[in-house]
Amino acid sequence: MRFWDVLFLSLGSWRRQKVRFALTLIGVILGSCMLAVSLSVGEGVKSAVREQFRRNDQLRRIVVHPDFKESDDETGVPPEAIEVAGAMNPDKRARIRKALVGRWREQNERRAAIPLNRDMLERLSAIEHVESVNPVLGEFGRCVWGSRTRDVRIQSTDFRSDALKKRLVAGSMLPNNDDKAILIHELLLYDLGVRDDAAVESIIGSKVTVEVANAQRGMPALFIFNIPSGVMSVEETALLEKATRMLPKALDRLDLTPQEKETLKQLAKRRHPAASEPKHVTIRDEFTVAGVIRILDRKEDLRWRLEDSFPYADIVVPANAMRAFSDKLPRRQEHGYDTAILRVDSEEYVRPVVEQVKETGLAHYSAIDWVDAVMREIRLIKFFTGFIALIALLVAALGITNTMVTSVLERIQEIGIMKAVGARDRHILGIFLIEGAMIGLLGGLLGLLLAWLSSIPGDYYGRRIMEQQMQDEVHQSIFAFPAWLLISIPLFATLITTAAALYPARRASRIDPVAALRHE
Amino acid sequence: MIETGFIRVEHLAKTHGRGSTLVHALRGVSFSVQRGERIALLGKSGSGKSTLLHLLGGLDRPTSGRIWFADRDLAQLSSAELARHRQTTVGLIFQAFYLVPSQTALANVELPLVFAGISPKQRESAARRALEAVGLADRARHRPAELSGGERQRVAIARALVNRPQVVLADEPTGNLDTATATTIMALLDSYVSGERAALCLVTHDEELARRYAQRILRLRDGQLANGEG
Repeated sequence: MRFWDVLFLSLGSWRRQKVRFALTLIGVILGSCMLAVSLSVGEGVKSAVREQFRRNDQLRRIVVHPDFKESDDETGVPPEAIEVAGAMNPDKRARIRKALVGRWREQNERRAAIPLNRDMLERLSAIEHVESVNPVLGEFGRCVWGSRTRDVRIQSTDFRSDALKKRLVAGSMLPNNDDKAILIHELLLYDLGVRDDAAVESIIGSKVTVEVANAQRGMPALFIFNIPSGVMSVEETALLEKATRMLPKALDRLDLTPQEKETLKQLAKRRHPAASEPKHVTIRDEFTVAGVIRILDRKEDLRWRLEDSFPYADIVVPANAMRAFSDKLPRRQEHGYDTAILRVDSEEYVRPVVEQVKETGLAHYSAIDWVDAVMREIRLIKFFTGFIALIALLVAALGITNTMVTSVLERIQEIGIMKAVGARDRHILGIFLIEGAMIGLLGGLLGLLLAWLSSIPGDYYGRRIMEQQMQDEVHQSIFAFPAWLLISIPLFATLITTAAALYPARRASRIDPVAALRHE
Repeated sequence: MIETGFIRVEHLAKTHGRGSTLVHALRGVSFSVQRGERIALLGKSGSGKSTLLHLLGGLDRPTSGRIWFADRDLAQLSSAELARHRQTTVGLIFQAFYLVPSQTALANVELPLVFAGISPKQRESAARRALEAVGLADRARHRPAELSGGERQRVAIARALVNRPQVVLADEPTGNLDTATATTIMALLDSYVSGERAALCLVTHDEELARRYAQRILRLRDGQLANGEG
């Protein structure tokens, strides 16, 4: 028997029972559509998230920090600082002692267990597939332009930063990572009195002095005089520092009771012997203004944080120039850096590089970790929505079984006639199986089409939600219809409905022709 | 001793049901039919003549005994081989016509050729010839509901003969028809079996019809041939 004849005989019942066929088909269409939407969104969101991070090379970066993990090691901690008084159970005593060790180290050491120093940077650079290692340096300092000064936040950056390029409003980008060129924030210029557009243009190429102190100074004096930060001149700051240092010696001349004077003297002695006097060194250098960057709008905020630059920097300095400048600070030489960014030559090697970074003991973060976590969540959601869709499809399949059993009962005499004129059991089996398969194939294809049509408004709304969550524009569709999906949905629907048709088809094929002919 | 013939039926028995509902439809029937011979199976309702026809047509299997078509024993054939027997060796005609109501006369006649795997072009041509032979060329696109009883039976005959079977098994083919139409129907069958030298087994309870068209009459009573006929 020819396939097309089997098909023609199979579709005969559709012509006879149009409404029943349509209702059965709708069930399969809806089940297939749900399954297709579920898989399509899962694929699309995965792809969109990856693409979002792939832009600006986020997936090739690994951020590392010194390890400040708490240590139980009591070496170097004065015994009196961790002595636990009182009667208590041993567990509680151990917990409190451990907490006291942590507290003492935090208050007195602030030294990383695994520092991110020059040696460590070299070690990181030596890892295979690491393209570059740049410390991210952020300093609070002061900017001096002519007679005007201002407290500023200074940040290092890679000269290739796309995000900075987008914010450039005057001048040009940093030429390379080594030149002593800077980008300056438009608000800082405004504060420095450079306000007219023409004046902003004319500052390009000017020299600006940047200075950074090794340790914060003059703070007590700032509190005493209630002076707002960032408005003092260099001379005023030096004077305040001088006055602050003289204060303990001038206690006798203050209008205080002898007891109050004694209390203040005792306070001065309370300084911990382990705490060393910070080195009061200020470094300064001249930089050329290469360009002006604009203020971030609120939408850009979150995305900027995902980049390697400090979003609110007043002055942005090329990575190597900043490092050469900052390395002059004693604390940098002693403690190293807070953050560095490793750039891996290819996305596929990020995971093995992360494994090697782990071995250094540094704290690390990679967008790929976050993306993997998101992917796991998407897989989970996809599994559950797919499961629900599968249930819907199975319910539709049960409907098919029911419909076809009815159809077999209605067509008993016809089956008898077919057998009387030479139909074999397998011909009858084929006719009913093909009928089931065709419902699945047609339902699967129409379900796929419906899923694609629903993806048009779905993508619009879905992208808006995703953009709100990511605080960034999402350029890629959150629905994806890869080739495997286009093939597997109709195929899967066909398999399910064919399986559903198996019981009625077997029943039809086993019908006794004599009894069937007598059937009314 | 069993005669030799194209069809040989040997000690055929068929029972239905079991226990208290056991019915002996046929009890040791033996006879033979030669190629080109026309026989009539005559008997009252319930005598077992339709059962015998179903067994000859391969629609059912005997409880015991053998049915030989040339050198093939139907009792030994598989289900698929029996289907092939129905498709190629015999042409079945029933009192109730048994046409597929949703299909046209042409499609009904084509049906045996569909299961034989004949190409659409060839089978349409064969079916049209068969319809023409029964005088229904102009009714090819009509559905059974649009045809008279006689026309329906002629479509059923066209369907039974489209494969050019060696044996025509007709179960009360004129039972639902008026005399004039019955005469036309029987003339058609007579013409086919004469032309093709096919055997005809006519099941009827009409002795007059049996006398007119059969060369030999086998009388069935309570599942047995009367007076040692066969």
